[in-house]
Amino acid sequence: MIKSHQRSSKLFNKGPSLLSKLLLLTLVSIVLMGVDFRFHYLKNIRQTTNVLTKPFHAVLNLPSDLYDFTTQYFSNQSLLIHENETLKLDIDRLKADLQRLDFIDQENNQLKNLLDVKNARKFKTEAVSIIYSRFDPFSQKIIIDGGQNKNFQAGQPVIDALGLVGQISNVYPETSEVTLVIDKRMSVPIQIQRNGLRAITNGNGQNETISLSYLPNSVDVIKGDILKTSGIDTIYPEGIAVAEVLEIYNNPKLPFAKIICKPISAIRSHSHVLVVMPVNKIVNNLAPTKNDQKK
Amino acid sequence: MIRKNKSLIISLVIAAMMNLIHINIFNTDLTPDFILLTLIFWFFKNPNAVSISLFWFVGLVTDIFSGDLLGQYALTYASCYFIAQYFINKIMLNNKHQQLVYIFFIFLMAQIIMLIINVTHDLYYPGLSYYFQSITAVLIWHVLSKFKPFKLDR
Repeated sequence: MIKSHQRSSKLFNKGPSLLSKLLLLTLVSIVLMGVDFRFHYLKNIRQTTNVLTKPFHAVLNLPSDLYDFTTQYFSNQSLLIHENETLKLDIDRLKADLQRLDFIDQENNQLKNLLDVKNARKFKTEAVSIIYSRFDPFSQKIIIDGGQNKNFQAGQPVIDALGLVGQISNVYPETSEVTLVIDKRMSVPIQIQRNGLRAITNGNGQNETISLSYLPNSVDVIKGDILKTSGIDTIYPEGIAVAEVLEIYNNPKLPFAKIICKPISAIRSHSHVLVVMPVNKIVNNLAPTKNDQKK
Repeated sequence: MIRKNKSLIISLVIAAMMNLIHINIFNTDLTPDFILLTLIFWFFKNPNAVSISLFWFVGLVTDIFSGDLLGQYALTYASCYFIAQYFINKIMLNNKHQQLVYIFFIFLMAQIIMLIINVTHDLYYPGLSYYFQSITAVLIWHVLSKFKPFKLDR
């Protein structure tokens, strides 16, 4: 009997050697990568393949959906009643807040009109569910349910109840790809809530933090400061919470302070997000793609 | 042979689905590439059933569905086949624990190739936790190899 690992015997070896095959395949791969890097044709291929894979995701999400459904179905009735009561109280409280907010909003707009300042952009949101997150340690992206069929466009901000989640970077027929704020290609113009200082955030990738770039060592930032979108970029509506300052390192040898922040939105733990649909004209700025983010 | 091919394709489809499903359950840092795990397993289970072109082709399909650049997984998997072929005698002759060292090395090489591809076009280094994937891959290999269907033929 011939053992499998004896097949490399020269007598029966036909065709090119393994090394030449590897070199050929490497060459082909490198050419494919180069062409894709330049022309982005993978994006077009994925327009069709994403439609094909959608049923698979539905099947894969079935166990967790089923688990959610059964736990909800069999949850204690008294618990539900209690939850219902607290929710009702919450709604009352929020309604009261909303009335006050409407009043303040109106007053603010009137004052802005008096001062000839452009009104803040208003927006609606559309709730969508997260289908899955991409398996890729080099980028932080999630795929949401809804794309061209819901009139999403690349560049729209994605938020949750707590704060900013990210931005739509690619739109496919039925799904969209959201780049999270912690992705290293993602930058958001922000304003510090306490003193109104404007800055730009940069994602840090895998360690799930955000850093503030290009701020001098003497900058007035303290631990616990809340960063909110400034709205001056016309992509993000103003006042959405982005992150909270976690640590500040002032090294006099370096030109800029190193400021580490933690995203406020529950980036990894929610199953639904809200896509911001601008009521005003949709801005034409695309989300950061791979190439235009070279620093 | 046909039966083997059928189970190969089925296992690859399951691995691809596991690659998609895992993120909602575990941390991204820790989960290995199940497709590569399956391919390497088949390579040692039945070296005649797989070839370098199959590795490359599976990589290309992975690229289409989940890659960042077309060709990065293809290049990684093809290189892995080459490395695995280089080690095949060492792995077949050594005991189980020494085998794991070679398996770890194969996965580490795959990660390093992926890292080189990404660093060259993106200038981004994901940090030390990136290499945990190789360790979990070896652990999964070790645990699964205790079960009969996953035992390597000797």
